[in-house]
Amino acid sequence: MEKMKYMNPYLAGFFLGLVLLAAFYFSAEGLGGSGAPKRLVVGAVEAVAPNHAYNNEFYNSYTQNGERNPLSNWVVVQVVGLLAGGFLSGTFSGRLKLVTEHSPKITAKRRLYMALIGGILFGIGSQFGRGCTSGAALSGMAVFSAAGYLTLIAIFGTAFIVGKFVKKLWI
Amino acid sequence: MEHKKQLRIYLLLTAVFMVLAIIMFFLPDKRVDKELSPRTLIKLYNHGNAYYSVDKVAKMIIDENPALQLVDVRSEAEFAEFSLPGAINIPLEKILEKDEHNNYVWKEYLRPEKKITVFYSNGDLKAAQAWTLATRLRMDKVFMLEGGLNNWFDKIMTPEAPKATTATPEEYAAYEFRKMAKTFFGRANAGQAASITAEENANSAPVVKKKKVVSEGGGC
Amino acid sequence: MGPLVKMGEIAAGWDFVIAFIIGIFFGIVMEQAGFSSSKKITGWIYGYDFTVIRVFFTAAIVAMIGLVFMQYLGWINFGELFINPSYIWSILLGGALMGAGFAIGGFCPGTSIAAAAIGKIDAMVFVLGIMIGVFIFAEGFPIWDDLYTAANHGPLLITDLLGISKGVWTFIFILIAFATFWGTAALRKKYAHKELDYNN
Repeated sequence: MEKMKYMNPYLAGFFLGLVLLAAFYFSAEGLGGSGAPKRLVVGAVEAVAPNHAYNNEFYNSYTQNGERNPLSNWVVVQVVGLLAGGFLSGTFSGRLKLVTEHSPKITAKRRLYMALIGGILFGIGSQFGRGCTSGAALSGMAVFSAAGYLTLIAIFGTAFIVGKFVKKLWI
Repeated sequence: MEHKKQLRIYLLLTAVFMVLAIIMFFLPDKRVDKELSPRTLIKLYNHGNAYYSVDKVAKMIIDENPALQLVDVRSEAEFAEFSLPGAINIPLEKILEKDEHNNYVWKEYLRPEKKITVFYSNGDLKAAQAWTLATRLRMDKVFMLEGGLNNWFDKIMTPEAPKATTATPEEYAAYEFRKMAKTFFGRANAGQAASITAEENANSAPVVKKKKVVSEGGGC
Repeated sequence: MGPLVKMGEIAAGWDFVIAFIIGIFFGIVMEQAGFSSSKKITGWIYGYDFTVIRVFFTAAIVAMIGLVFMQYLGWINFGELFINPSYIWSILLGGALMGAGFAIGGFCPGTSIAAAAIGKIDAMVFVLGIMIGVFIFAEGFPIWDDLYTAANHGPLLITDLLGISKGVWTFIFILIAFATFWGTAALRKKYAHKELDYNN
């Protein structure tokens, strides 16, 4: 299938805003991406070593000594939908392809290492920030949360500075 | 040509949003109630998860569940006389005290993002008042001990054997558990464990590390 | 009056159905916007593609205008919405780590999941990285517990902080956003030649 062009960014932003608004209107929750991986980790640790999970304050705030299922949560279901939506969209636009996307200046292997490092940093950072780009920054900005704007500035500011040092990874 | 057309659309959109921005500027703000609406409060209460049964709390104490935070809302004298293991004392009379930042003082001693808070008093009444206040202040995971300490003594400390004719296996299991719990707490009240309990109580009376309260992170 | 589930207007059981549907639309919009490509996502740092900033700011102003109107018309109880609490130090540290992860990894959690859905292997590795990161954070939690909960200012609103109404802040933010839009359009022309052909 022929690849389709991406949507106009302003139009996409408009739709994203509507999705965000709908999330608030129905469920009082914003959008989020890091909550699901987090809860998956908590669930996995609880399954493997329940006592360890109950003795660690962080895990236990999600499991409550097994009283709560960390995966039975709004953001987890939302991310399952996100996977489905991304897949649907990719199918219709002919972008479904197993590929490691990387700049011609680096090898695919290097790109994967960098993606892993970036993911780890994001994993740790999203816990300190109590949410990621969509959950803390975008949703936070929309509800006028001071934390949302602070997160936005911290993320984009650091990315801009660090980006200058890792230019070779991208261009 | 295509480019010019796009530019015209963008200029038009900019104009539309500028008009919207100006409308926004003059739109009056509504005061946001920082406390939970009465409607939501009633809903929470009616969902039936406002209470923790005495059996559940007994089991959590025996299991040394780190998430449990018992809060005794009776007077200091009553607290000194008897309290459940690990409980902290926040007398109901002190519950309305505020600090210089206009925050409720007692909110600092509880960490609802990590703990399950269970209020208890002799009956239900005082605990219910504390629960209502905490819930209205949007504290997460707050509960009351069902029936209070009176119920605790009835069920846990003086368990009654189920009637042989009508009892279900569940009732027998509950009875067995209560007998076990009675032995546990009986020892804790009398024997060497008493000193530990007393010590815990002394430490955990409102001198706990000052930490502010948050709700569990949503969104991400 | 919204939020519908929280206000009891619709049964709590619908919550997950709504979450799933919203997730689907979230995924479609992100994929269509091009957020399934790390090349497009990092473009704004080097000035060759401002999609992220445009989508992000447009979404924010649309949601803000919507919320202000809905609150004005009494369609939504703003007090019931989740406001993320302001733990200053934790946010700054977390934001800095996330920013570095953004520049190095080329995704953020939401976009990486959308990208993984269409078969980007780098995105799948990124998601794996997030989980490792969460695991590291959780295992070391006792070490940074104090930092994590320090300097909490609660669910602080920027409008309360500045002492202005939500509408006025929306007004200011629309001006900022449109200045950014037109500014980036000018920059894009200057740096457009830097676009490289990726292997996809």
